[in-house]
Amino acid sequence: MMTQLGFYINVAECVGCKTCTVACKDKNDLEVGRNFRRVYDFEEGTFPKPSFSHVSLSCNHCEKPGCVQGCPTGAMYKRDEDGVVLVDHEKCIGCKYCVWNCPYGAPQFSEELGKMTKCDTCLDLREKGEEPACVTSCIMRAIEFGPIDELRKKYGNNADIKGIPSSTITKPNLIINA
Amino acid sequence: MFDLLKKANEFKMSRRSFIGWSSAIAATAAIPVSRGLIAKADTNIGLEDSSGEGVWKTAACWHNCGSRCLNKVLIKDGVVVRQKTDDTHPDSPDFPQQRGCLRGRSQRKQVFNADRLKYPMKRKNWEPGGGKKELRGNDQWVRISWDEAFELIAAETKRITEKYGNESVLVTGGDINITNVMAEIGGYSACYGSSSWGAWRWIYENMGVGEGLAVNGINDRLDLRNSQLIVLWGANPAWSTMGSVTYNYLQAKKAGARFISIDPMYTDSANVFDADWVPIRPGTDDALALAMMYTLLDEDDPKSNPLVKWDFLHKYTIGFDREHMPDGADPKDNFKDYLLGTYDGQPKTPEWASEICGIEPSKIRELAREIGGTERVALLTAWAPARISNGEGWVQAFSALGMMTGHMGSPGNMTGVSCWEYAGNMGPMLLIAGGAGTERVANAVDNMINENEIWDAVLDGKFLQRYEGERKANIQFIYHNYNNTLQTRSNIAKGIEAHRKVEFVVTNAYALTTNAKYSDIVLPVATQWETEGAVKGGNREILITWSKIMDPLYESKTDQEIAEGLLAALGKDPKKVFPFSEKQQYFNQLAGSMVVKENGVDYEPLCTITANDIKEWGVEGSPQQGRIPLKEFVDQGIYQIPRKPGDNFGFIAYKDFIDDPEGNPVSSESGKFEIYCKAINELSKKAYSEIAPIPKYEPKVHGYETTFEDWDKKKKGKYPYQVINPHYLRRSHSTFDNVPQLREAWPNPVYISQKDAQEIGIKDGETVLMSNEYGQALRPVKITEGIIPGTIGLPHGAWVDIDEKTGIDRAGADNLFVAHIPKGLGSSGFNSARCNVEKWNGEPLEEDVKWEQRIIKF
Amino acid sequence: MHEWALLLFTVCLQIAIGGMLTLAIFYKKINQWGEETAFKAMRIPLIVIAALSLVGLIASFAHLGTPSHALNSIRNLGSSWMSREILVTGLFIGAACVTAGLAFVQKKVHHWLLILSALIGLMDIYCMAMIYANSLVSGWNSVHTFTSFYGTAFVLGPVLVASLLAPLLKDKAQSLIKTAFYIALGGIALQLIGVALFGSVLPEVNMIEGTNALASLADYQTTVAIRWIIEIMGAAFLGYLSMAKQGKVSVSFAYVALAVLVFAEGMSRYVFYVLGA
Ligand SMILES: Nc1nc2c(c(=O)[nH]1)N[C@H]1C(S)=C(S)[C@@H](COP(=O)(O)OP(=O)(O)OC[C@H]3O[C@@H](n4cnc5c(=O)[nH]c(N)nc54)[C@H](O)[C@@H]3O)O[C@H]1N2
Ligand SMILES: Nc1nc2c(c(=O)[nH]1)N[C@H]1C(S)=C(S)[C@@H](COP(=O)(O)OP(=O)(O)OC[C@H]3O[C@@H](n4cnc5c(=O)[nH]c(N)nc54)[C@H](O)[C@@H]3O)O[C@H]1N2
Ligand code: SF4
Ligand code: SF4
Ligand code: SF4
Ligand code: SF4
Ligand code: SF4
Ligand SMILES: [Mo]
Repeated sequence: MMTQLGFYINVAECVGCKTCTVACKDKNDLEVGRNFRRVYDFEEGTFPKPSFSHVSLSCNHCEKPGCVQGCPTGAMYKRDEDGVVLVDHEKCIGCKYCVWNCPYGAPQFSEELGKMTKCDTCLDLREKGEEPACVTSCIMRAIEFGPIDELRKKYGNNADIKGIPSSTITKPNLIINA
Repeated sequence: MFDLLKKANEFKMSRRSFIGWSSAIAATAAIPVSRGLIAKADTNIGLEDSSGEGVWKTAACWHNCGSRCLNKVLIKDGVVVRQKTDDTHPDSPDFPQQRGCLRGRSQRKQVFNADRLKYPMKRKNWEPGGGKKELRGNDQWVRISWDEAFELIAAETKRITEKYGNESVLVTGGDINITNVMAEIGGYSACYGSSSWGAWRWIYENMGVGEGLAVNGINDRLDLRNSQLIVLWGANPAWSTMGSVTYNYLQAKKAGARFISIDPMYTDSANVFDADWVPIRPGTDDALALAMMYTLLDEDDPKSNPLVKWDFLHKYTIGFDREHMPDGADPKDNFKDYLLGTYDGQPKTPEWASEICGIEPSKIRELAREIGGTERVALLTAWAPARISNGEGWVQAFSALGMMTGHMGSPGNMTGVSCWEYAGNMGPMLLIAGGAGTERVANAVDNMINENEIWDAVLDGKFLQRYEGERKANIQFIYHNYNNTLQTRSNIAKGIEAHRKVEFVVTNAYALTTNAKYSDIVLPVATQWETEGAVKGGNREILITWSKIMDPLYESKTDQEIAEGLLAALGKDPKKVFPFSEKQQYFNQLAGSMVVKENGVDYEPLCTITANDIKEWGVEGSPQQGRIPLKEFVDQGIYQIPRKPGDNFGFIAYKDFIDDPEGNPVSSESGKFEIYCKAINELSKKAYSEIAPIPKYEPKVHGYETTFEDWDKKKKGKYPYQVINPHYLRRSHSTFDNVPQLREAWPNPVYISQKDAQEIGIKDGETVLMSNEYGQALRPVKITEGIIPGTIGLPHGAWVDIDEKTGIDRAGADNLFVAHIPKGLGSSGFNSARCNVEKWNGEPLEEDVKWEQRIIKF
Repeated sequence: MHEWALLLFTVCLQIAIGGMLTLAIFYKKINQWGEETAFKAMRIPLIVIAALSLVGLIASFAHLGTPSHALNSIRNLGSSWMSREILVTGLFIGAACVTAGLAFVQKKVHHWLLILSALIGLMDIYCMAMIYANSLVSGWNSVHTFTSFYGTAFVLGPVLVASLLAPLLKDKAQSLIKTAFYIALGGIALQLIGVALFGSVLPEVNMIEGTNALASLADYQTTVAIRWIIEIMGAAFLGYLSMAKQGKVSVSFAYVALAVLVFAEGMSRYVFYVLGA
């Protein structure tokens, strides 16, 4: 039985510090310009009642992954055991088409490799029984990772927040606490 | 052919990941792989990775960032491959992990930055006596050997001290190494300032309150959960106290506390705590506090509406009203009559304050009622609102407000500074680091130059020796070490002028910082990853120890090695000044570290040390019994006291005094909280400007009023905007500003209100020119509804980068705009500056992440 | 805009396909002057068409991060329009080369080969457009992509062929130029329809860093305007050539029209790729 994995992002408690972005960068040795996790900043309201929201997003390992569907080589694939979406570098030709098919900006092209790269849920750490680097880095404890069913039981189903493309496009395995 | 390309790619790739080199210009820059790049881990220290990938060691994150967190690095085959943070115990709100921030996680990219200084170097057009002094900051660099460097510096030191006396040597910063060298050869002029604290720096003891670092003024973090209302008065832990502080505050919110944020900017702290934001003009908090106190007095009715805690005032304070004035003071000078305007004819009404601080009178009254009428309130201010000129009145007024409302000395009640490493969590340190053992050499010269006067002292030859009088100065040699004074102190342009006047400037640095850039000789210093190790406290519940990750990179030397080399070249015995090896000093710190016992009162040594440990370390010492084995502490890198509500480690500030005011007097002359404080007034008469004994409103030099040409007609002047310098998450002051990935994560705009932007006619992201009588800088704008109109938020610490042709800085260095005018007892006016802002019609600025790094090409 | 490779690829192939289609249409007329004349006239256009498609192929490789794996690109025909497009592009290039090669070997041009190649080409343009129409980029996922791609083929293909034939066929070419002119006008009309529909069919923004296409294009208004002016000038010149009294101007000046129109179409494609940023 497949247990789909996903992320819970507690936007209400995120301060937008971008530690998660940088922790991921360090873990994956990403140069400037390539970020498997990105924090998008939004501002609403008017003086003196503004409000901010910061949305930390990586890849949502979607149910209907546009990246996988459009990929000409099958390099972008959703693996069976846990629904994690990965890039097979043996196949990838670096056409970047997945970039145009992902609503969340998750695929990040590596000029050096000439191939697409992206969040792999820190597979290597998870194999050792650890949590993904972004999760354990967050100073507000605003990111959780795990079986999406369990997370949804705890936190509900919402995956939409102003500024982020509609969750109907790819059905992300993401929960947002707005 | 494709295979060939692939191979080339792989080669580039492995080169880069091999050293984790960070460079904006991708990975292709040629990087010589010198011996130093290999992490020479002491394999006895650290913990094996769970899958045998390598060894995790605790690595230094040693900056003055206002926090202290656990940062670890994975060393694999002698190479630092990645980092992580605290996972030494499960995480919970009561016993949180000490998680590092984005800067800590970029430490690897700072230490291995492509712009690391590699060799000692001198300015091409330098020669003894200064050479072409005007080329400082703009000259080429020539590589020299260490022997030559030491000899040149020693010869110039001798020549200059013989010709002008030791007073002519100015050593900036307090680091023990170079100060000891100069003290050993006869002394040096020193400088001092109020940098962090602002106006709190020299007055708190006289008032009998805590200033938030040396003296505790607020309760511990678990007690914060007892507060019903938390007022963050100019405090933004989400930016300026990374690590656990914002998370701790969040627990108070979850426990039911409401938040108010009184701040020129809508902060991410206010946002995450759902605070009621009260936008205020910088440097006008004293007016607001006075009007709130006026309201309390005005509306107070001991029976029907008890807002003022009269019992508290009578029992614990002096000077509030004419009945409680100290002997010898004029009764008319009491605070209550000042509030009521009895003698000066100006009641400090909300209407009076509103014109100054920009807050509606009705809102001021509402704030007063909320603070006065809520039982358990935490009135918390960071130092920022006091980092202004003439800020003493604010410190006095804020403290008086806490006293008047009685929010001090009991659970859930506190009034004081919540800032830096102790933000939201004060109380006696539960762990104390041992000393290194190296002593300061006494300085035979007692010149103490105020930081707002150093450049004038250099240029005009005189300064005020505080509490004494004017002194002559003839500074001819500036030695910078372990600070970035030219960058972080007021009026950079004047500082540059001063640097171009003296005969000799030397800096020890690991990148071409502002200090280094304007020097004649620069000595490459090893970072704390390349030194033996240290024990450092942070918040009261932790002690962190880090140890050496690798040998000094390239030819760099440690601070102490440089000091020793200089002493030898100066004909002194290094062993006399630095009797202990760096390893011994590290060991001394470990051996001397103490931890509180279960009873919360007594302390015991932290580390158990065996004779075998001492032998293995190769140091002097004697075995001792402690809480945990030495090796365990060093391997883990941290010891943290688990906390839970009701444990023996809680703290309520001033509780001893409240319980028994006679038995446990506070630090003031009278032993009580002094709302009327004679001592401050007396001291100020011998300092920079007079401070009233009671909280009084005073317009600030370069404050809000001075942004007008005609105050009465409200006609704006030449510099219509106020400027504040929020401490910024990209960097710790100026440190880390050169790390490309931090530039990427946090671009460096100026924050400007939508209203002002419309008036100036600029769109988000466009470039503006900021200017005042001291400097000019370009910056892209970030337009927001989250800043009070009329105020510009210029993030603190960007590395000044002046175009010599136009005189315009393209980096946006805050201190270009800050006046060098000491006030009161000598505080700096960082957050009370002003400027003009206009649309820039020249070439728009490119994001600084794309700029070329300051890499010296040899 | 950094998609220069894709710009070159799409424009080259679309000219080639449009050219092939034009040859198929002109075949009868040219063949009436004899098989040998037909071969002599058409060999240059055929070589140029094959060469253009090969240049496009090379450009498409330049777009890839790992060209050595290019063969993988047809492994997902089941769901990827890009896979399908790459396959059909390959077929067209193959067909174009075979048509040209066979013509040289046999000194004779086969009409059915021209027609087959042109049909594959038209399919190819459809697949090409589907790649973009299926993406989430605002402005690409619209009918405009189809009108633009087919438009380029219909404008540039005939003009290319006509201008290559003109020097060889001299005065005989004028009627061909006239046909070419009408087809090109059709292409321009098609593009105008796409432009007219562009604003009305824009869906909401579907990518987090994406902006609405109209907003992305705000800074390119002048480019767009200049493109249309140049395009119309080119078309007008072509029209003049096709109508002008014999001998007054050399039909060889069709080259000028070609150059001007290529430039205009290039600008148009540039703006197209700005959307994808
Ligand atoms: N306008 C304005 N100015 C301000 C402030 C403000 O808010 N506004 N804030 C003020 C405050 S609160 C403070 S505390 C000061 C801070 O002022 P500084 O202490 O001058 O600031 P830093 O940028 O931290 O400088 C530390 C320097 O030491 C170097 N360094 C780091 N490690 C080592 C080492 O091991 N050896 C040696 N030799 N050098 C090392 C770093 O590269 C860096 O250049 O700035 C003050 N200046
Ligand atoms: N990221 C980062 N964190 C740091 C540092 C750093 O350089 N970078 N430096 C550390 C050091 S050494 C220190 S001393 C501390 C200082 O820490 P703080 O004293 O807290 O300084 P800031 O973060 O500059 O300012 C805190 C808040 O005060 C507001 N403020 C500014 N002026 C006024 C005013 O006049 N009135 C009111 N009511 N509010 C005002 C600002 O808008 C900001 O939201 O930060 C420490 N933390
Ligand atoms: S680390 Fe946590 S708080 Fe910081 S930006 Fe990421 S999710 Fe938000
Ligand atoms: S987030 Fe994007 S890259 Fe990740 S699975 Fe969904 S569509 Fe694909
Ligand atoms: S870049 Fe790689 S993963 Fe992305 S669509 Fe192309 S082949 Fe697939
Ligand atoms: S799970 Fe790992 S790869 Fe994915 S965003 Fe988090 S740290 Fe990056
Ligand atoms: S908050 Fe300070 S000590 Fe903690 S990781 Fe960040 S820079 Fe290092
Ligand atoms: Mo500070």
